[in-house]
Amino acid sequence: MTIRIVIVLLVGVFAGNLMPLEFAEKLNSISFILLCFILFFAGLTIGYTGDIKSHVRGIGLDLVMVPISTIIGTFLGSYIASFIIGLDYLECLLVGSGFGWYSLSAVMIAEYDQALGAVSFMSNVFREILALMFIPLVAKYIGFNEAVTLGGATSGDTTMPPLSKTTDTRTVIIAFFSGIVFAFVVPVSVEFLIALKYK
Amino acid sequence: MSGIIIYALIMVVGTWLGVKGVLKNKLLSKLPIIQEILILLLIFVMGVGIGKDENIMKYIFSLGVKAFVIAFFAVVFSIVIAHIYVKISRKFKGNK
Repeated sequence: MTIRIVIVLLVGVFAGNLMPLEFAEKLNSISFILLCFILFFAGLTIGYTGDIKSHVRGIGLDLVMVPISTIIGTFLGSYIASFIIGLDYLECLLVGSGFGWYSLSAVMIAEYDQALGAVSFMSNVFREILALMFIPLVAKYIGFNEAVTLGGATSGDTTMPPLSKTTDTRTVIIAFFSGIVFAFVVPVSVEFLIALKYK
Repeated sequence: MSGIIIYALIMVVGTWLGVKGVLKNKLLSKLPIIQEILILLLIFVMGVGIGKDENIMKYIFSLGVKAFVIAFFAVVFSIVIAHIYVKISRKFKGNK
C-alpha cells in the first residue's frame, strides 16, 4: 500500500506540473468530500470489528496509557524538532499530529499550506518506515509497550505485522486499541491545530 | 473549528452504522478496496496540488530533511515517554 501511495503521489505531482492551473485548483476542491468519505469508511470498519470490549478486558491501564504516551511523546518530540529545523512550533506540532496517518493529515494540512502538507506527508511516511524498521529492536531491547508507540496511528494496521511477530497477544490488543484511538484523535487534533494556526 | 465537529460526527455515524451492521456482507468485503481507491484518489489530488506549486518543487529536498527530523524526534520521544510510564507503573505495582 505504501509503495502504491508514493507512486500515485508522484504521478499526481507530475500531472499537476503539466495540467492547467484552473483545472488543478478545481480538482483540489474535491479533497474535502473525499476526506469525509474516508473518515466515514474508517468509522464503519471500526464498528464492524465486533465486540471490542471483550478483547480489551483485563489489560488495565496500559490500554489507555500507551496511546497517551504516544500523543505526549509525539508532541514533545515535534516541539523539540522545531528548534532544530527552524519551523514554527505550531507547524511542527501539526506535522506530528498526523501520528503516521499520512493519507488524512497531509491532505487536511495541504488545504491551507501546500508546502507544510508536503512536509506532513513525508514525515508521516518516514514515521511508518522508522516503525517498520525499529519495532523489532525496540520490542527486544526496550519493551513491548514502547514498541507500540512507534507506529502511532498505524499500530492497528500497517505496523501490526512486526508487532505481532516480535511481541505477545496482550501487546497486539493494545496496538489494535491504540489504532482505534488514533482514528479519532488524528482528525480532531489536526483540525484543532489548523484552527490555532490558520483561523 | 467546525471541521472538528464534522469529522468527529462522520466517524461516530460510521462507527454506529458499523456496530448496527447495516452493510450486507457482500459490500462489507469490498470495504477495504473502496477505502484504498478513495485514499489513492485523495493522494493523487494532493500530488496535483504539490506539482502545480513551483516553490515546493524547488525546496523538496530541504522539506524532506525537515520531515525526517520531525518523524525521528516524534518516534524517539514516544518511546521515552512510554518507557517512563512503564517504569513508574512497575514501581507502583511492586509497592502494592
